[in-house]
Amino acid sequence: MWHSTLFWIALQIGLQLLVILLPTRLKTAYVLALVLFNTIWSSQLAFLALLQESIAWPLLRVPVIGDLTLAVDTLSGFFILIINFTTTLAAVYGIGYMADQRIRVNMNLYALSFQSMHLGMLLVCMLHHFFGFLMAWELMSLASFFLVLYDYEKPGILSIAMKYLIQMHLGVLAILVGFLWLYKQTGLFEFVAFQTYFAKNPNLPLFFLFFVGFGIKAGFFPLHTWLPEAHPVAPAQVSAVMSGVMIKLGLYGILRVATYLQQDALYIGIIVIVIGMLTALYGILNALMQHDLKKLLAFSSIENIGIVGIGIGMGLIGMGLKDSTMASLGFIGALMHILNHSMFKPLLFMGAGSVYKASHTRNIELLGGLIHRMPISATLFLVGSIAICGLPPLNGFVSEFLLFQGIFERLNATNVSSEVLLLITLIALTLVGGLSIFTFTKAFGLTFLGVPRSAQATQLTPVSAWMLAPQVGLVIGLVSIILLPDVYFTFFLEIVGNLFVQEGYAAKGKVFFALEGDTYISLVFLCIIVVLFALRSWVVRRFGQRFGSTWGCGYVAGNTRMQYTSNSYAHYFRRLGKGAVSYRETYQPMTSLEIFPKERSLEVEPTDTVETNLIQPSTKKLSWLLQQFAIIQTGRTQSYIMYAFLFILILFLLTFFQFI
Amino acid sequence: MDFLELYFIGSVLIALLMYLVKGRKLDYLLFIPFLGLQIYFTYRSWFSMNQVLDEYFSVDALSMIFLILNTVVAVPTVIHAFLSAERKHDSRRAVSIHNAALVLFIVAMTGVLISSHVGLLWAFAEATTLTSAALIYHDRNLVALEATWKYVFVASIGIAFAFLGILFLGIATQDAQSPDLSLVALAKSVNAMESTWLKMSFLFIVAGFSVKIGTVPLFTVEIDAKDAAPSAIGALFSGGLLNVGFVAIFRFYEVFSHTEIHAWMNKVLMITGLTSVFFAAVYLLSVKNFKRMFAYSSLEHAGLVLIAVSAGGVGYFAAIFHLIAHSLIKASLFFQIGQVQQTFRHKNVERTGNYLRINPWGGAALLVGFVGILALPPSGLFISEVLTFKALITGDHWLVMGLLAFLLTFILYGMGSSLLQVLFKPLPAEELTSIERISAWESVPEWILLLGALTLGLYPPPALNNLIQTAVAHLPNVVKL
Amino acid sequence: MVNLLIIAFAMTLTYSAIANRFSSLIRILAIQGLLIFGVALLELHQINLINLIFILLETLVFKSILVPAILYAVITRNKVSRDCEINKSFFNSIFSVIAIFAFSFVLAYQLHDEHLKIIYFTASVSAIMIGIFLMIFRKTIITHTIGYIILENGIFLFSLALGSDMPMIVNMGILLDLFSTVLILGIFVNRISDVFNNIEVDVLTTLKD
Repeated sequence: MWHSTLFWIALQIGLQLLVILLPTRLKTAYVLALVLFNTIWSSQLAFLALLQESIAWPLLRVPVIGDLTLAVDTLSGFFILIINFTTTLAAVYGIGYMADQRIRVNMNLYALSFQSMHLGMLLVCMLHHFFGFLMAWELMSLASFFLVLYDYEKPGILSIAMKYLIQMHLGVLAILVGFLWLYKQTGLFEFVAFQTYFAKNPNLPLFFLFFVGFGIKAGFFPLHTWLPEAHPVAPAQVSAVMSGVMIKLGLYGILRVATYLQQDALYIGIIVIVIGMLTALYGILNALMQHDLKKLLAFSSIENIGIVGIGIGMGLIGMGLKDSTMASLGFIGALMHILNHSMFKPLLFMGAGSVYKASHTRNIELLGGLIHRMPISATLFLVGSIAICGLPPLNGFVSEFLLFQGIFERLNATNVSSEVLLLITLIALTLVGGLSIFTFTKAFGLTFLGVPRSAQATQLTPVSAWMLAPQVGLVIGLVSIILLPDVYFTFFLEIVGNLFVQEGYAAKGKVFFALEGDTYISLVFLCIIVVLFALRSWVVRRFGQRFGSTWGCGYVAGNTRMQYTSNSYAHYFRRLGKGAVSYRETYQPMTSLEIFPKERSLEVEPTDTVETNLIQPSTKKLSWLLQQFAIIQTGRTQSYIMYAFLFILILFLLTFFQFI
Repeated sequence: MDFLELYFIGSVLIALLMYLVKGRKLDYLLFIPFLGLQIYFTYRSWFSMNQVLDEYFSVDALSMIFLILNTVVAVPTVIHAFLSAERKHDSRRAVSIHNAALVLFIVAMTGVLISSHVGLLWAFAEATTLTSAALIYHDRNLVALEATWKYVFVASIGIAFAFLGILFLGIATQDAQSPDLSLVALAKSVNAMESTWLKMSFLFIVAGFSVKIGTVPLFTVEIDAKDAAPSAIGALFSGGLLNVGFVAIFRFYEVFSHTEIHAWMNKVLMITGLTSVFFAAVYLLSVKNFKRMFAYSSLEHAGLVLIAVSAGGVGYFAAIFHLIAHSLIKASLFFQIGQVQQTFRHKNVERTGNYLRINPWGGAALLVGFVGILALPPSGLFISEVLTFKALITGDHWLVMGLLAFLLTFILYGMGSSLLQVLFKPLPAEELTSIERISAWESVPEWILLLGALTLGLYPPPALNNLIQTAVAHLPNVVKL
Repeated sequence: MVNLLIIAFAMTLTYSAIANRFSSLIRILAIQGLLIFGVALLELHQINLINLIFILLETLVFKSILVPAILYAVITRNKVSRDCEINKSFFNSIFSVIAIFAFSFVLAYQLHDEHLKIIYFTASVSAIMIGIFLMIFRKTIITHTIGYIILENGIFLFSLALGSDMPMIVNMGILLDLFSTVLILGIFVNRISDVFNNIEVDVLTTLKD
């Protein structure tokens, strides 16, 4: 019985459904337990694949659908591990975040969806049969759809969720068409079909189709419009999982297809790198302008996906040019950035969730001064911010460093002037890095520093330990990357070596040396910080401290509104980001006849350019166009009979004139 | 065969009894012998598959599939009809007419499925129109009157067209010197018939029976009928009559497919199917009455089935699989939406909301039905839609596939938004407390049907697959799965 | 002789296109019934006697007597005598009828088939199309019903062309007649004319989107 697949499937389904029977208060704990259960066996498989050899176990012959096989190789193994790490910590967080939810049916929905989302993500990495892959993919999307609409009592969420579902559906359609085309050309319904197809046909068109399909999930520009709307409205741990790992599965899909590429890699790489740059710039410019903390983080995810895209593009260009150093560094940088982002973005989202839970608002303009009342959350958020900006001594620096290293190696090896694209990439990366520092100083500074801007920021409910512990766990994960970069680097080298670049080991020596140097410097940095901190504590104890109110020197009649607002902080960059960011200004202008003007208010809401200028108008037009045909059901019998007559007449004429 | 006569005569007697008996509960009690008879008939037919029962009747794989499906859907129909009659305190006369008509309606549908003579098939189809008229008129208000009149009138025209199609077929048989309209004889002599007559025959058959299957051009009255009839009857229309209409058209298609008009028939079916999906998309974006919404959804799925048939190859299998999954899911949706209607006392999507909180088990059934009808995995419809796309791509029908994908996205948007509103939109608190709660046990039949549809979507039983393959085995270019 | 009857049938079709008063239309139906009875009598000589008598009886009784009587009763009960809408111009109606005849002729010639006499085909197809036109372009329920009956007469005529070889088909045609008479006329025209005072079809247009 233990070997029967059907038994395990039935067990899994039973365990998933069991949560309905539990009392409401225990549901989140059960979710953690089930996630842990699935983590254990999937991580075992992942380690087996990473340390020993890839797995391919036939699972089940399903009628009509096909032969399902469990296939875990190094790439899948890596993704499984980051999925498990983040989701488990998010489940722990969920226990604290959802502790006050009492409505049974809502909690059932949440629990079932969270568990299935985890399972769906794992299965996506483990199934290579197209039908199974699609079903797992849709399971994951559907589950996240229900999680996004968890807070359905709030206005506007239903339409956001629907938009999310539609975009996911379009992605699935693109992938499905790609799969069916592969089936038609090769007769195979598994990922190995790519191998056969790419050997004999141009690679670019089909790769692009899959790039679009998976890119919608990943959040590449301009397919990203669902991301900044769906991530903020979901519960914090769900946003953490979605930003941290689910969008990475879009990247998994792209990487998986890329492992089979045999021609055209150079052109594909150029396209990917350009899209990556656009995504990164668009993401960070929009993030800069937001005043909703979680929306800011969502756009920052888009930026990081762009950076990964740059890495993948570099890797592909390296493959195309047969430059194994650049290729390996590009791919390894991309993979490492995926790992890093899956650590610090959930950390940041959980921090934002703590802020929301405590103050009941996500609006930066109503917050401020939270560091005094929530010191631990503030510190954790700070660590996450430093990491995401790519500043040493934290891990974000390592992955961006690898990308820079890849570009420099290539520029060194050839004539600088002929690699214009790479120079532009360099500039873009630098710009993005700088802008992200700006963004996160805004995010951290306005929220936690200064003085509270509204009553909501003063009346805070305390944050439970269940919500703080996973953040600490993520910090530990971050730090491990600094302390042991070689370990991770070796893993990635193996993945890339197996799947992408056969001679990737050439770069090993240089990079190892540089990484070790980085660790050394980071440790020195940390020591300096610790020493300074110890010094300060000694001085304070010796000489005492004097406390005053924030900005208490100078102007004594200040009020809380005399601080930076979200827009004013980023004001300078409004001009820079003109094309990328749009605004919705709500303001009633004064007419010349108003002698005694009434009170006015100005509301500036940054909106996503692609969404407002491209997607909304076109979908509205299409809907309008379709609805023009809604005149058939006239209510009159005469019309109905006329339709029958016309139907026969038209088909008769078509036949007669031989059109059909 | 004895059980055949037993079935027909027994059912007519039970119907008569139902009409005469004047107690409401007693009337419904009489359904037990009828359902027993129906199940017995299905059981005996299973063992008589592919044998000739009579000069005019025979049971093959296709009939068997839909016979079982009809029986499966009939049981919860009766249960829900009973529950709603109790709740609305229907008059005894209305109940007796309704029950008698329901029995005869199910018998008429069975008749169409097992007829092996084209004329008899047509006559039973007429009988379904007659009996469904009584069922649509059950509520006896102005809306019902209007819907019934339109349905009767236009369906009669449809039947007349179908008869004209059979007449053309008759002319064609005279060419072939074999004036016999049984399906077996037609299959043998079809190659000797002149294709012009066959084309005209098929055209009128499709136009005429479109009122049963609910596609272009006569779908409009079907929508009205499903709106005005009680929800349980609407379920039987979408889950039973639709399949019967399909079988009627399919019998002709199967016979004609071995001639040179096969490609032409595919084009006709593809045009019909695509226009049906188009109009479904158009209306699903704007319709506010949720019963009409599900009726338009049936229009869409009927169109999809015709497209699958016209695509050929694995499409034949996909079409029948689609019909099975669709019947199960749509029936459960109609049953559930009847409960929604009774909870809120109106049919407008915009004034409902929060159904998941009001009726957790019922709302969850609606949620699963929502996932099912939009063809998202693990719904059985996902498998059939993927197979349909497979068939379309294999046949290089890129334009059709592109249009279909485009229209299906809009349908997802329209229906999805409405269903989300019903389930989740928050209602003001005073409304929430004043709403009548329906017991969760009433949703049990829906869950059973949905479980069936989910099983189809995850692990289609090999027995069923073999049955479907047998049903389509006689068509040209069949792909074995 | 049969041809003469069929041509007379076609002439009644022409008249029905322009007839305005219900009583004229009903009279046309009765005449059509008689004509079809005559055709049946003359054409169906190869089927057995009992079946033949049944068919003859049905055409005579139903088409010529019963149906017109019921319709007449409905009219007198509701005290309507005229189609209310303006028949836009006689020219248009006559033109359409002639166009339909021409189309049917051309069609019949295109589909030349030795088993089908052209006259039968023309008359039947014209009747069908004129019936449809009556239903599309007129506004009262009674006219709709009459249009449907004309449609049926056309189909029945067509079936008579095959009737000598396949009596089953003619029986089916009769079944169609019975069914439609019982259902449409017997139940609903009565019910609707009870519920609504006028019988304009426009009243029945609430079911739409």
